[in-house]
Amino acid sequence: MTEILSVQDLHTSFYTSMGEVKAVDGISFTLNKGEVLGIVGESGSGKSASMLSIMGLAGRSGRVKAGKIIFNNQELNAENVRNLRGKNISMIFQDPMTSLNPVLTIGYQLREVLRRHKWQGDIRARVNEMLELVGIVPRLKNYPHEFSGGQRQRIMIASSIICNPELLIADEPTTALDVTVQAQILSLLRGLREKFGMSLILITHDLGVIAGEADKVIVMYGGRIMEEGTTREIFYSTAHPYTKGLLRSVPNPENPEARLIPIEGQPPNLLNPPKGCPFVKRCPQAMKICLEHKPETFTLSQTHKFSCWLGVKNDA
Amino acid sequence: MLEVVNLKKYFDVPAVNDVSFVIHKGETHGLVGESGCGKTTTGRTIIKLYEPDAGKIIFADQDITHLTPEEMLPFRKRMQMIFQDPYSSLNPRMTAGDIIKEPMIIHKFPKDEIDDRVNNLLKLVGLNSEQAGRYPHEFSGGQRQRIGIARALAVEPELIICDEPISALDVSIQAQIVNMLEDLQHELGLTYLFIAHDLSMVRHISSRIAVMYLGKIVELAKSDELYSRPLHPYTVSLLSSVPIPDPDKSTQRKLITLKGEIPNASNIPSGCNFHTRCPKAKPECAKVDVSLQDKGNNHFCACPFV
Repeated sequence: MTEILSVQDLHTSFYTSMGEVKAVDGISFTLNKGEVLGIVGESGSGKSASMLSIMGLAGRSGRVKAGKIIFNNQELNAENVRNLRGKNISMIFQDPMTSLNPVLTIGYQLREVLRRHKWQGDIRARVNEMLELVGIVPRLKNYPHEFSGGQRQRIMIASSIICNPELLIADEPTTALDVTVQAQILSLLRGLREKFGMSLILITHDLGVIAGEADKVIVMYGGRIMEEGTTREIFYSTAHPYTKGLLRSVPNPENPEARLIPIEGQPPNLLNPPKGCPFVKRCPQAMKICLEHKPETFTLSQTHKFSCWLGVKNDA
Repeated sequence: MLEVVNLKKYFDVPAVNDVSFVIHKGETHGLVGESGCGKTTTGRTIIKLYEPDAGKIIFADQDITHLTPEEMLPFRKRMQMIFQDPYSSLNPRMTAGDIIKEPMIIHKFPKDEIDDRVNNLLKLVGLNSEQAGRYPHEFSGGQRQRIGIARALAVEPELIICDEPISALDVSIQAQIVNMLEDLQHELGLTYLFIAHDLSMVRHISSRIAVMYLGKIVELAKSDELYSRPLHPYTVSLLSSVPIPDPDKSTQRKLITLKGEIPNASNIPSGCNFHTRCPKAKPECAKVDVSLQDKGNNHFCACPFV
């Protein structure tokens, strides 16, 4: 398998009036061509911040402090990412209501992407082709408010894949949508992957979406990767107490009335993060060492790793 | 406890169109459906935040449909609401303590008891009394939802309308709030109307569930019955769309994807309003009668062909 993306020890911080927020605190992963990587985590876990760092979109207050991002054997930096963005790597955002410009027609917004990347071909035909692909009647002169939420998300998808990207990053693409529309959008993304061999990073907090779509999974918490593995490893050989907690927080389809087992406590404050493991205050299996030292990463299989001091026992 | 009969509410277009159901004391009744189906409007009309246009609302054997706001006051004490968005439903300029106090002042609780009650309520929802002086922005989303629940409980209601109480919260926090609502129900003998679009959580918490589509109830049954034997084609496709948090089961299931979008409420299809998207639609569906029929075992369905 060819590697398409490799992220090595990425650190991204946002500088706010209250101090530095370490949103991404040293994450590494790789993605192969055609693979679907699911990233799960709560608000503030750093999943969106790490993707914005890859895209070079961390903004004025954000800064990639350390780490390497290698896309197709080329290290990305602020300059070269501008020409890849929207063409080779594309992103779909969570909120279809605010990600399209409300004062420009959708035809204009789709043509803009092609012009920026100097599309060699009939621009008009390409726009129509893409809209048909995502199941939208090409009403090019209409404005975003004239479409429903699901339609807008399809238009977003059309604009993100219009230059045939090799990698698509979808940040909570269906969270704002109803379940039946979610099912339509997910099956559309599946079709596009099969047709064009595109790689996909799917960020979601919905474990059901992960189970149905992802080949491998990264579980993030407090800016760090807690556990990574194939989807089957994450669901059936769960290693990290946080991942276990997440899986127990949702109703079990076999036994829907059984009492839920929540993760007690609140997510950490990233302005003042715990010294050791970010999950220590909520972890039912926390030990003394977890308070003081950030856990090392332990390997369970070629594909399955987790970052927790409980791993010491496994190695011995 | 609560009986809703042929309730209608129009905002130029019909939002709630002929909805009837009964909630028994101590039970949790689920109300599910997609955006724009009228589930929130139903909840808000029951508590008379909106005036109903037709039909009846009977609360504890009394018809409250046409009461004036003054006459409604004693009933408001007995039915409270928890809102979806813990960010916009708390006044940012009031402290948590004042937010919880306000309904008790309105309902004239003895002044000397109020402070004690605030402390007890904070404890009841898993916060501590030192937090009474803090403002909403000092709390996380889950904690704010706890304040909203404490405010609803302050006047000792019998019925609580929970309008998507967990959909704005993270997965690990959702389970905390759902467990707390269940515990409070056992301790205080509460009755819930639980409005949500997360079908697996609704199944977990509710004893009976009504499914709404475009302002109408299309199916109503006990939770187990509804999930194991859905009858209405809309319910069938809705349930098949719910992602299953288990990789093996999720590849085995059969997905029934609906075509198109929910029709605009200003242009509702005739007859069965689902016929434009229904995978089993027949020509006569455009003019059938879709009142709920008992298909046995108290399982009500609006589709005459199942």
